[in-house]
Amino acid sequence: MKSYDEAGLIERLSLMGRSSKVAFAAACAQRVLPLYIRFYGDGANPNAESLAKILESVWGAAEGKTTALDGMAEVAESLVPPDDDKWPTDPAYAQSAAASVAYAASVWQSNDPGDAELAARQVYDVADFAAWTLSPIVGSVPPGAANSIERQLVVQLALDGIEKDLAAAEDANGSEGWSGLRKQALEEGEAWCKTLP
Amino acid sequence: MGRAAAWGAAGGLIGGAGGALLGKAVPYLGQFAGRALNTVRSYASTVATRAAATARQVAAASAQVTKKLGASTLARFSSGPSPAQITTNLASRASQINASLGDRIAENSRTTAVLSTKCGPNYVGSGGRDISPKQRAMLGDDEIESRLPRAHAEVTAVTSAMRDGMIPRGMGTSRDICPACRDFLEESGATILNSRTAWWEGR
Repeated sequence: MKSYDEAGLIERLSLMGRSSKVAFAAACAQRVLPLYIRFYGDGANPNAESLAKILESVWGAAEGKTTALDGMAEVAESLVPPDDDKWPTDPAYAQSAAASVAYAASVWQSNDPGDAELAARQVYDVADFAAWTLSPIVGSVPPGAANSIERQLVVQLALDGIEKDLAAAEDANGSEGWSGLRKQALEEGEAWCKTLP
Repeated sequence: MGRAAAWGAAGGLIGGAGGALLGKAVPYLGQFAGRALNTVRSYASTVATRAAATARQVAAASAQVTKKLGASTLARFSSGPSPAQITTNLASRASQINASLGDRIAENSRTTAVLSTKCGPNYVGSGGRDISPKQRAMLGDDEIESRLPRAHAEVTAVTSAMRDGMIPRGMGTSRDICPACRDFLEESGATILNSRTAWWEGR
């Protein structure tokens, strides 16, 4: 069984160059972006379009096509839906998705492995939330329940995805582009998001 | 015989007696020491018996007073921490658990509440998506993770405690209590002490 290893992730990220860190963070954000689109409905939504454009720019920055990411992390953060009773569905997934894009945009500015880890952690948080949603536990959580949550397939698939993206970002040097990593995150992310409650 | 001479003679006598006298004295010294030790032991035993009896009397008297006045009345006059101090500590703990997220976006948007219960554990709730893995890792043995999806942190903690048959005592939150939660807490019997703390009367 895999578990989320924050320290190990940061250690590996700190050995990577800026471009690889940004690509990894973008891949993580790509995996959960469908949840943001789902939250606002299938039709066109300005918030969803804005967030997708920011992520597109982050990929562009990783590939050296653009460096104009100033202020984009803040814009992405402003697109995090607040906890509010007005939403027809729980905003937790969409909050994590927008936060992941915000942290991915931050990495380009900061080159901070911690920001890249935070982009990945949103994927894990989404998976954890999904597993608890599937669980019947409401009220006080009995001891040991968290371990059974960690073993859920939805969580293990998320951890597999993070590991695959990290390995791909470590192996590539960016000169070949990040199309392979992006395709992997996009396709696997879309399939995974469809399984979430 | 002058005094000096007498002391001198006595000294001489003692000195002259030498090892023989000392040899006779040692058994007597041993007997004396043994008797002294027995006396001390006996006295200590008496003191311990009396102390135990006194402690029993004090405990019985205390129980009588508690029974007549009630624990809540006594709590008001006791020198223990006040409701304000208790709930301030709970609010600090709530802020600590919230900050453990290490995720500035989540920290700014989420609220954490810690509820103490009468003779029970503390219940920890987080608004919206409930406790996240990082917060869970921070919880101590006396803290119960509470879950109630889409409910606010305060409602989550109080509801979980009541479902377990616990009686709420004090609450502290990492952010200001919203108007809806103020109403909820007041309806459950709480008094709002300040923007981040609440206390259930007489608990």
